[in-house]
Amino acid sequence: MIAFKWLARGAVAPFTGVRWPLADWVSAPAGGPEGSGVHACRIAHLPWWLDEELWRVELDGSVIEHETQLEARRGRLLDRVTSWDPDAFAQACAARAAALAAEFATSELAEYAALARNGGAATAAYVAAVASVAARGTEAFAAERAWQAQWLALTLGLRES
Amino acid sequence: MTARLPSEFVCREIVEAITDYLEAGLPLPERTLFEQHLVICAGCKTYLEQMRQTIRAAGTARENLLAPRQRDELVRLFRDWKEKK
Repeated sequence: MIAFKWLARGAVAPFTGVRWPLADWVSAPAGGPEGSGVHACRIAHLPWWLDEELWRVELDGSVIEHETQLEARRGRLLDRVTSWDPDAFAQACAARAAALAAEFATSELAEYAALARNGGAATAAYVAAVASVAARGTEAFAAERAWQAQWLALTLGLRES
Repeated sequence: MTARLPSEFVCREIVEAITDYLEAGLPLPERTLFEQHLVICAGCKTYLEQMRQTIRAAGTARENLLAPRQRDELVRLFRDWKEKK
C-alpha cells in the first residue's frame, strides 16, 4: 500500500527521533502492542500530523486503520513530496480563519484569526479548525480538517494507491 | 484559546502523562492525542526532548563520578531542601 509520512528535517521521525533511511525497509519490533508499528497517513490523516518533510511511503503486510493514522509492521520511504510548502498551507488555513472572523465578527474569532495568521502550518491548521468549531459547532472541526486534506491533495498532487 | 474540544490534550495534561508516554504506558488513544498535541505545541515538544535528555544523562551517572566535596555539597543541598519542606 502506498501512503504518506511526515518527518522532521533530515527524514527524522518526530516522536521517536529515528532517522529513516532512503528506500530501506524499517520494521517495528516483533510482538509489540497495538500502536507500536510503523505509522503513516492516508490523505485524510495528513492535517493532523504536519511536519517539515512529506514523504510517500510503501507499507508492507496488513495495515491497521486507526482514526487518524495507519499502522503497519514495516514501511519504506519512496520519495519526498518536494512541492510541500508549509507557508502556503499556513496562509490558506489563516485565510479560512480570517473569513470566519469577518463573517461572525466576534472577539474570539478575531483572536483565532490572529493566531492562525502568526503561526506555522501546524498551528494555523489547528487554529482554523478550532475557529470553525467556535463559529459553526463541534462537527465543523472534522469538516475543516477534511478541507485541509483536500487542499493538500489538490495542491501537492497527492494520490492514494 | 477558549474553545477546547472534548478529546484535546492541554499542556498540563502533557506534563502529567509524560512519564507514561516515555515508558510506553499510554493506551493508543491517549498516545495519539498526546502526539497530536506535540504537533501543535513547540513548548511541549521541547519539554519532551528535555525529559529524554535528562533520562539519558541520569542513566550514565554513577556515584563514584562525584568528588567527595561535590557529593557532600549535594547531600547538604538535599538536607536543606528537605528541612524547608
